[in-house]
Formats: sequence, C-alpha cells, structure tokens
Amino acid sequence: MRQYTEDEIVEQLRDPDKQRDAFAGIVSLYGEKLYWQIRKMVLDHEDANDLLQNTFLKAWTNIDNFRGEAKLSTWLYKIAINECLTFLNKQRSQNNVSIDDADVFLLERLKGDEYFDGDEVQVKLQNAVLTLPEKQRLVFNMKYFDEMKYEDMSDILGTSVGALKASYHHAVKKIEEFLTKEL
Amino acid sequence: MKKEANNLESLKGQNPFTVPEGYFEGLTSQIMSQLPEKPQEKAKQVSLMDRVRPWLYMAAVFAGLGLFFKAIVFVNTPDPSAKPDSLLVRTEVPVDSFTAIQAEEDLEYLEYIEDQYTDYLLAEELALSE
Repeated sequence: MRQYTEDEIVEQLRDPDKQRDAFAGIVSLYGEKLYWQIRKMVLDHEDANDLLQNTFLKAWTNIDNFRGEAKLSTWLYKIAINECLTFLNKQRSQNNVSIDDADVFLLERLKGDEYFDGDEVQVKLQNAVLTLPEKQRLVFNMKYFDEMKYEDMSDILGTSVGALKASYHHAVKKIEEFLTKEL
Repeated sequence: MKKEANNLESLKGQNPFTVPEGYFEGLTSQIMSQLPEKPQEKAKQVSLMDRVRPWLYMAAVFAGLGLFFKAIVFVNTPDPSAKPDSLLVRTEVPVDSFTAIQAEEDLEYLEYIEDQYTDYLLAEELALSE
C-alpha cells in the first residue's frame, strides 16, 4: 500500500467517497509515532493501545471539523496529548495522587508490564522522568526520545520555542541530578 | 557535570519499551476495524425551545419594562377617592363660572370704550345737526 503525503491525504479527506481510505492513510502515517508519544507518557502498553484507539476515534469523529489550517500531525498530536492528560488525571484521582506529586504509581505499572525489558538503569531513567511536572515531561519526551523540532513542539503545545528550550534544559538538569543521586 | 551529562547521553537512543509481535503491522487495520463507518459528527439537536428562547427572553424584558412603567404611573396618580389633605383648602370652581366671568369682562370693556368715545361722538352729532 502506497504511503500518501499529508497534503494528498488532506485533499482526499474532502471527498466523502475517499474519506475512509484517506483516514486509513492517516493511521498508517502517524499511528506508530503517536503510539510512542502516548507510550512514553503512560508507560504501559495496554493503556497506550487504548489511548491510541481513542485518539483516532476522536479524530475520525471530528474529521469534518479539520479545516487544514494546522498541520494534520499537529492536530493529531494535540488530540493524543489531551487523551493522555485526561487518562493521567483519572489515574491520579484513583490513586489519590495530587497533580503536584510525581506519578510514581506509573512505575509500578511499568514494572508489571510484560512489554518493558529495560534494565535497572532504564527503570531509574523512567523514574527520573516521572518526577518532572506533566508539561515538562511532555517536552522532555518529545525532544529526548522523539528528537522533535522545537517549532513543531511549539505548535502542538502552544508554548514559545524559547520557553520550550528553557523547559527542556531544566528537565535535563533535574534528570541528571536524579540519576547521579540514584546511581 | 561531564559525567552526569554522559549518564543521560549514554541512555539516548535506547528503547526499553517493546510491543507485541506484529503490533505495528496490524495497527492500521486494528484501528480502522473499530471505527464507525462514517464520521458521525454529533449534530446538536436544535429544539424549538432553543430557537424560541431568545425571543422569549426579549418579550420578558419588554413585559417587565411595561409593568415597571405602569407601576410608576400608578404610584404617581392620585387616588380620586382619597380625601384631600385637611390642611389644604381646595376651591372647586364650576366650569360655567368661567363663561360668566368672561361675559362680565366683555361688558366692562364695552362701557370703557363708550366712555372714551362719548365726547367725540357728541361733537360729531352736533356738527351734523348744524
């Protein structure tokens, strides 16, 4: 199956007869990227899979509202991030964890996840990342793991490039300190 | 500090997360199979009440204003059945008396004119008789 470009897909989305095929193209193009973005936030594979499904369901339901003013990928990332944050808020509520506290409960889920084969150092890295505030964690994941451009991150998160650079710099510093302390 | 940076740097590029075998290969079909046939945008049902509500509000405002002004007018209008203040003397003048006064004033005015012209009229009559 040929991979369509974003512009081609957006064009096909306007044609009701081709809309579903075009959407399959979107899933094919961004499914894996979004999965990893979600997975790095929620850590557990099953949760990530459910949230990815919800992300595409919301995108499909609202596809007629997509005007093409923003990039399709930006729109999808925004939906995915909203899904993640809503999920994490629910989890915090169920685990009686304040938004200011580290999401260490996720670490327990990670340890029990059969699709995680990291060593002790990797667990510590994930533990360090979980100590970051929610938004800083998003910034760190996007830059460190996905090597996303600051400009793209700025479009998705609605934050200036300068603020994102500062946020990433602080995140790296905190994680390095955490790792040095722990190692 | 260099050592700290190396800690994070050395972990970069490693991905300890895994997925079930063939997960990404079947991802598109798995997701597409769970989507409804058509993107069903839940169009908000606009009820008759929703349409009429602004007009009802506007009508209520006008009705309220009307009642408000009516209440003000009612408060400021004296009650005809109410007794006048005992300290105030009210003179009731019948409408006919105005006509009578007017007629009397007219008569007085004619008499005044006659007085003024009496000498002139006498002199004129004498001249004619001569």
